[in-house]
Amino acid sequence: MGTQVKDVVLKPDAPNTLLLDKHADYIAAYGSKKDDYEYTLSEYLRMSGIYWGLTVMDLMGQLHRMNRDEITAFIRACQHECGGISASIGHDPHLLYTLSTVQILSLYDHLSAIDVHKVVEYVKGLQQEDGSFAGDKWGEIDTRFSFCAAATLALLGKLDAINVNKAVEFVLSCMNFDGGFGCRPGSESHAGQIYCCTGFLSITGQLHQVNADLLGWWLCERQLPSGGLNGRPEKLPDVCYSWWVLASLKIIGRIHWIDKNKLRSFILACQDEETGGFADRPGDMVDPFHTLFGIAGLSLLGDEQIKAVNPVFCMPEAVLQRIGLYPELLS
Amino acid sequence: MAESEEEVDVLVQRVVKDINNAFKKNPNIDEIGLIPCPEARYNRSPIVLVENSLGVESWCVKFLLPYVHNKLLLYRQRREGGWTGRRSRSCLLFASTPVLEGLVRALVDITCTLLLLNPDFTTAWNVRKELVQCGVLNPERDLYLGKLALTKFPKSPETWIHRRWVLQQVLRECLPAGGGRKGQSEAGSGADAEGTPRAERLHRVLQEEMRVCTEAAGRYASNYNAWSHRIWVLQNMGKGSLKILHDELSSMKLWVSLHVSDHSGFHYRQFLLKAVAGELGQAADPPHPSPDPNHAPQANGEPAANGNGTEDRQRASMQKLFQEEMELCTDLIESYPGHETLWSHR
Ligand SMILES: [Zn+2]
Repeated sequence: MGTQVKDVVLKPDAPNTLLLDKHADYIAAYGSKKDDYEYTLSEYLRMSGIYWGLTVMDLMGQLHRMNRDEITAFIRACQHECGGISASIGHDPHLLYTLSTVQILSLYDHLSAIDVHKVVEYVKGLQQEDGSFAGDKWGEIDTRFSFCAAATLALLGKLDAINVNKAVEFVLSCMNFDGGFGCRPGSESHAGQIYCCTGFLSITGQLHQVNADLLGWWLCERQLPSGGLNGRPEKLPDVCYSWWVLASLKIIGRIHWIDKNKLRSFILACQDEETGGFADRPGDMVDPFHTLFGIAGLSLLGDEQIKAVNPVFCMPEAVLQRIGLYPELLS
Repeated sequence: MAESEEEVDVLVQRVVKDINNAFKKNPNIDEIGLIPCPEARYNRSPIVLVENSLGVESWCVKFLLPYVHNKLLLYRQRREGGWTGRRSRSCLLFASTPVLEGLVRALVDITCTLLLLNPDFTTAWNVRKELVQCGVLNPERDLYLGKLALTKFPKSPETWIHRRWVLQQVLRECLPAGGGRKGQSEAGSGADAEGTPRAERLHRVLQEEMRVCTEAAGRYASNYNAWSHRIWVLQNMGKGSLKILHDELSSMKLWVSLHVSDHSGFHYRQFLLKAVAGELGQAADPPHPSPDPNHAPQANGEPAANGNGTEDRQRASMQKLFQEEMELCTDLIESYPGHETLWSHR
């Protein structure tokens, strides 16, 4: 029966050098195919798409190639009466896209493009009695949204607008016996959720509440023979999970527990030599999402052709230094 | 084939109508899918109904999706300009004027097509939430659309998120005593109108939800969204019911044996065991108010223990459960060596 490990095999001719120029061209061209069917299909998350594209361009020192004025005008049209921001024009506001917007405007150092006071009120209004956060007015609860709320407010310098103690209490109630975190109390540990929760605890200065050795063990168990990391046991490796696991390990000070060289080879093998961009796994279709997490992952692994990335906010360290934001990291 | 704007309009309107007619013709459609077919065949609808499966020929999707997408956003922007504002007023309008009835029908049809193609389009689900809230869209009917979308997109986070909201509406309609239903309309609770007890409706919805979760878990291995949804359902709809927990434990036994590397399935079993332990620990206290009178706390069909010896019996019953779990686990490890999932469960 299926006793072999679920993994991929890197082909000998897979890319093994970083194709920075190709990636920059890929991202720069991405937004120009606006009539594309694929583009319509992803409109419901457009604002996050823009954040992925701009961040990876900034990390590669190519932010100037993006159309700042057009993006700013688009963002203005996406802020709603309630203060929340939607993925695109005519869509409904949500915490996910509110964070993406604040991240974009932080890259551009242009927060005055939106009504910041209203954003703070919006985020504040989504906190529940138990400290958790709803993603929007319809009330879905998830630790992802705790992270979005804390990250948004921290970037705006307004973390004190919410009940931080209660918010921490809720996130800790989602911790599992394996040291990881799930989306809600009782839910399974998941690398994406762990990233959100460790990121949240870093922003709120509560990382001492994490069992770093136990969690670090679970996280580095995600590395497969190919070098890639998966998000949960018996899943395939994936560039985006590689980022979430790696960033979480960095946050809790255990990044040296994985084999960095092997992970680097896996990420490099996920590049498309012809089109530029990264895919989830070698040979798959590339997209901006995996392109950001590929580049950001390589940055965390110490690649000097890329600007240093902050593991908590997934933004260039230089931007956070300008804001004066230094989220806690364990050593 | 159709390429000019008017031609596309006509084509797409026909397809949307065909889809909705298919649902009228067969209300038992239980699966959707895309039929690979690069080109249109002359004079034939791209909507194919085979038994209980609804298929869409792939060539028409690139016309269909942008059309319903733009149409919905158009309605949404028009709404920003006026017809919601205060919810109660728009509900009233919905019920009265024929124009708005037409609008409701159009919104139901468009969101249906759109969400079957692109189920993570959050705003389209939100439009349906508003329709449910106004009492013009039956919650069960809406859950049915999500169930269909999950047959093609079993992970779709927004579909699961939307389901939880709808289930909360059903809960609210079934448990009115809890208060906090300020101005909530009764409309939509069709089951009550027919004189069916609320408890039965809740039971039916809960059973169906478990089936939807199992189905989605079968379509995608370690389906995080399906399993965390299942946990949510138990936490929110099965509170204090040992009967439900035991039913789940026994029905999951076969499932995990057939899916030995499904880490999420095993996590769910662990959740169930902990929940049973929690309930047994509280059984000495007065029984919880159960949402379903047929499901008052009881273990393995025995009435909940009370009085002397309770603790011993609870401990014994818990020990038996864990012993059984270890036996199941050992059996599976012996039959399927090398599965990380099994070892970490143990
Ligand atoms: Zn991925």
